[in-house]
Amino acid sequence: MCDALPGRVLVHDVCGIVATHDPKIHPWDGHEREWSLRGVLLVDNLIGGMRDIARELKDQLSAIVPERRIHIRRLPHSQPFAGPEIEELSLSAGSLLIGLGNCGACTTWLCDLADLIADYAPVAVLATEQFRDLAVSRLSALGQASLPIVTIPSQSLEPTSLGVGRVAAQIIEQRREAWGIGEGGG
Amino acid sequence: MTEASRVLEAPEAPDLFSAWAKERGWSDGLPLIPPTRERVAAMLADYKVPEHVLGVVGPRGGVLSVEVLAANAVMAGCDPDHLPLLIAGAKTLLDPRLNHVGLQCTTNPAGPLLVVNGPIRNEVAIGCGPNALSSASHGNASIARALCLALKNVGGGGSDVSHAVLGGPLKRGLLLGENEEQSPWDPLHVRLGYEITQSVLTAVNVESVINVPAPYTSADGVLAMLALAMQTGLNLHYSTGVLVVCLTPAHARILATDGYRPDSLAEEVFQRARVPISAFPEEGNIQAAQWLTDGDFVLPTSDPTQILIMVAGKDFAAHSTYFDGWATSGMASTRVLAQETN
Repeated sequence: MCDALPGRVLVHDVCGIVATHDPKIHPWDGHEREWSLRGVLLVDNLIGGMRDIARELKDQLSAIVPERRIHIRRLPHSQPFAGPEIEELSLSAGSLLIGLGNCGACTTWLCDLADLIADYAPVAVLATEQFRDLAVSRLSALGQASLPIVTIPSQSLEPTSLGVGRVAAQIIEQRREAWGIGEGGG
Repeated sequence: MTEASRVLEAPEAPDLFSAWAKERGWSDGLPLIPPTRERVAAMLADYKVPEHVLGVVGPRGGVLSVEVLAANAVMAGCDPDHLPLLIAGAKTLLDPRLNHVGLQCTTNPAGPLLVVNGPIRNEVAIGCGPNALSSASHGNASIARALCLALKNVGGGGSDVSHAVLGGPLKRGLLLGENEEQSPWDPLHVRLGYEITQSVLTAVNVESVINVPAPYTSADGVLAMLALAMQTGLNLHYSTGVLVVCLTPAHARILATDGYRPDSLAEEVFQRARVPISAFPEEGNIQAAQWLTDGDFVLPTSDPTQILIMVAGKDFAAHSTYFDGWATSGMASTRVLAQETN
């Protein structure tokens, strides 16, 4: 590059390049995996009333899926995910909903977890409106921009104030097409 | 200059440059020094592989090379002889145990606390004694700031990503050396398994700095005030996190005279810092967390090994310091290698 104009200097970029997504590590084809209701796994990270939301989701889904095929798994941490649990999490899943992203650390953790699981099972991340952009950004950085994000409206940091029934219904509504559920539920 | 690095034209005057950098999202709110080619080259004068990658920084997924780290260090006001500590600091903060992506995005006001041990403290004048966390040393402030600036800029941790509710000064990081010369105990890095002749940087993420005003002459008096300080923080809701007790040399001697060593001291304050469940709201713990209890008491962290004891500051029997740990991260150490710059 030529010298700078008077009163100007040439400075280094301080942000660096963005890491390239490695297709050998993440053989994600960019298309949403086929969801099924042969097994539904709900990961409860205990954030923002997710415990109640997961229970309500299970109740509502049990109208269309045998209850024995719906599992709730509690992972009450927002630390980097420990690898050995990935296989266990994925085994039963025809679809996997992990959430709730309702704080900064927990949202990034959910995205990291989704990235690890995406090669094994169809997965979606649950996030409140306030943290949806962060989930989009993190999934994009991980090369998982096409992973679905189910958004939960929230006026506060307590989405269950909207009523867990309504929240659960909205989650199902956003995955209705992927699950192939008709308006009547079947 | 490497192919990976980009060069941009910017205003030369520091005030205009700071405004320009702020517009680009490079700022941490304080004045910045333009990272000119000459200044970055001087920072890297002895470093043969500036493109060496130290890690990938989230959530953006930016690549932190030594060269990009040096550019951020120039902006933050670092000197070239800070580079070995900067490299060790970056490696440590990118250790998975430090959960740096979560740290950049959390609603919590947490930030890194960096502790330097070994000969490099004196070689680059890292403050360990009076006023170590304030104005005692240029290196203390600028190295911590540079590391946080690099993580923010490379990791995309600006205002659109950081969800800090209020933020706080810890977002710019804290760095100090241990006052090994006035400590009655082995230095922290020796207790972590390093040789006393080695230089080591240790990092934990903390969410507040709590003064422990304990002008007492008995171990029990000091311990009582420490326990009071430790009965707060998000860690209580999770019973996790690394909690840092930073004693003045005088307080450390009082405790050592009474027979305490760092491990037994950690056990003692672990017991004393338990909080009665009855002290919490009637609805109990927050929904997001699971705490550990012992009878009717909530544990401050998982076990005494998660309490880090160190000695720093003025040799004065008051104002020790407690840093409550960010509940969702651990601790990591990295050896500082001066030869890495050759």
